[in-house]
Amino acid sequence: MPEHIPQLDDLAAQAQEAPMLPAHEVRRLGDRRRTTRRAGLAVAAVGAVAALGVSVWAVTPLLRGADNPDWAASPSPTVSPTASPDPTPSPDPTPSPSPTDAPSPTAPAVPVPPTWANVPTAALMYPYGSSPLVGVLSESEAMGETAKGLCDRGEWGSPTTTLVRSFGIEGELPTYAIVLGYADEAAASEGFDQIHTAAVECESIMTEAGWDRVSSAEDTRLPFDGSTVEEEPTRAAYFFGMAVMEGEDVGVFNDTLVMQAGERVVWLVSTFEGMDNNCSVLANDDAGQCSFAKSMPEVLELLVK
Amino acid sequence: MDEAQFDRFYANSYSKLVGQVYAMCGNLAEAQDCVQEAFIRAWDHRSQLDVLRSPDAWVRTTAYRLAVSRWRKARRAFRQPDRALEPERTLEPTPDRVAINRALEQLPDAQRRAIVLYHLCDLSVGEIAQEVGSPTGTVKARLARGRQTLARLLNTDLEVRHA
Repeated sequence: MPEHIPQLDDLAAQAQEAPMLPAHEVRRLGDRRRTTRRAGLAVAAVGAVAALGVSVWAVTPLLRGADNPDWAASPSPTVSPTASPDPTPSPDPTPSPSPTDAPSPTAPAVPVPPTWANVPTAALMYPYGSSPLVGVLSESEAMGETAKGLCDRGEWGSPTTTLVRSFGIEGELPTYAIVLGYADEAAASEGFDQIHTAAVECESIMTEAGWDRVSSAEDTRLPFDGSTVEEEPTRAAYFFGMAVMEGEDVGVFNDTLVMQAGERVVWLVSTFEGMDNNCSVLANDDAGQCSFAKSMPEVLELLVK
Repeated sequence: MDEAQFDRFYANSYSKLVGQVYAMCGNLAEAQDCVQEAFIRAWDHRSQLDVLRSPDAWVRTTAYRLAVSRWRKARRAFRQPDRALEPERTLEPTPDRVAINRALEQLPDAQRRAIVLYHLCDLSVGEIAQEVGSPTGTVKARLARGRQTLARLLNTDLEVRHA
């Protein structure tokens, strides 16, 4: 039995008088939340299908099942139990216990959290090679207070696992490989969306941060193929950003790649000072393929390994 | 988990979990809100709660994440755009609470969480490692460093040793 710290016990004891809702009210709110969440997932799926024609993301599970009339109703073995169609649906907002709610040793598995083995290494971050001086600067299990690149609003949902590996040279702007594990696919999608939204709004973020001339855009030509892994959903987005201080002849460039595979998200951010950032997401472009785009297939494979 | 099981779990665990999350985040009102919300989510995800294993960990972890998320948002509201400003936290007036709160505030979040899980929640190092998703060696180091800092700040003879 661990020894107790009296002051800590006293502190916690002050919660004894904490007001609490009646249990039936907690259950009512929980039921309402469940109904809303499931409705939200259904709407999101419909919205994703509607947006396929113009969306820049590759929503692989939808594409894969699009020729199957039953795709939307077919439960996947990898889908979280909370997102699965309930085999005993009930319109009753306070449903009575059903077989699906009964405790069982074979209760739905909690997602396996990602480990450091899922975080890209220097070889993937610098697929064209790098200076011997470039190495891993730090590894952390928290985001910390340092902004990850120029397009970081500090919002990435509610991950259950956070793994941050930074690369570069001491004293210079680091490059980040961030792997986030979530409780389920819906939570991961929320995290992906928040990172993606921040990248879409990167110009305003940079302007707020005091940069004078900014530009940022998503490259919709990203050749992403999520069908190489079993996890669903899979999607990816790539952003270029640039900021220049008035009177300066060098800029700060920011590349962002964010990918989701099931309940995991990987977020790569490269920020550096320079005169230009000539590269393309396409492999056959004369400018050469950008590092993150080149490593993308391996990074995706590593994410779900 | 059925209704009766959930109601028993809620009645028996709510105050205890509020106290634990309060010790982790340092704000009683925030802890109450987050634990309450975590129980609502627990009923939403009741099929994931295994009564044979402690569902306390699920609620505690969810409440802690909610508290961290709210804390981040609050900080951002004060710190945009350059994250340079540090909002001063509100401290409750009780001297003992001020002392322990101030001491806990000196700890990095991970150390603070480990200290609370070990010394307040009575979890073993292995259980803490499982709950926070870190290796046991990391948890031991956090506990040792956290104890050192607390012992110094609280001026106690809290034993500094590896768990």
